[in-house]
Amino acid sequence: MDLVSEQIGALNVITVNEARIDAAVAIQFKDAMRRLTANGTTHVLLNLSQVLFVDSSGLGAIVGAMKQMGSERRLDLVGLTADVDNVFRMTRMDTIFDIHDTMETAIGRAAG
Amino acid sequence: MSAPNIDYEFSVSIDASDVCVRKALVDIRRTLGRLGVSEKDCGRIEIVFAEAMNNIVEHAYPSVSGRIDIAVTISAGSVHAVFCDYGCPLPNLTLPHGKLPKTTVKRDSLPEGGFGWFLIHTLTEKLDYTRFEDKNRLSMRIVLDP
Repeated sequence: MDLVSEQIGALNVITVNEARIDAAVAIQFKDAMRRLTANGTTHVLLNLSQVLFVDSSGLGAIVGAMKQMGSERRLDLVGLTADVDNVFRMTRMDTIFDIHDTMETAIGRAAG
Repeated sequence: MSAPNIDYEFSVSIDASDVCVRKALVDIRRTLGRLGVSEKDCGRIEIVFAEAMNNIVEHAYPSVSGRIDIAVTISAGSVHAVFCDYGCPLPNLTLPHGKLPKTTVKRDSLPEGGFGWFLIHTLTEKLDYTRFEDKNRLSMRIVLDP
């Protein structure tokens, strides 16, 4: 899977350069997230602005990615596209994550 | 963008695998879009179809290959879909209840699965499952936004 990690200030920003996080890639996604968050950065921001579709396996993998970071660290989300946003809201997963509209607000809030 | 007057039917048969399900979903969405089904409805249909087929791949054919037959009819402002497979039956020959897993729990206990049937139940009407001889048949209706 094409995931890119970038350190912006105190934030580890991980961008998913894929159109789908679905059953076909859920395990690879979670493994890639484990590798890219292994440096221990406390605050991780997952940029989903290029992801057009997440199914329940993908949703589970995103939750799993947060859980495997341990309870002292944070995984926020940014850039949910319409269908992805709907799935998060229907499953109440929008109450579990801090979800930002844009990178600017997400980074601004982390800095402030 | 509404599509109350579309009258169309099509069917697709695919190998029951994650990759073939993904391809079928993309193809079906393209077809629906071309017919004038709104993006919002396409999104709802895609997640329902994804969960129905993922479930077949995972539970009907856990370790064997198999086939999924999909028949879609769009008529009178709704989409009627039938998914057939020839694998294991649903446990107790019954549709899973589709309750939302509890999310008001400690982070370590947050659910990483169990959303699929909830999404199907939430977004469909007339959800029905039958087993006849060696065939599972799951049917449903999704009402398009007027």
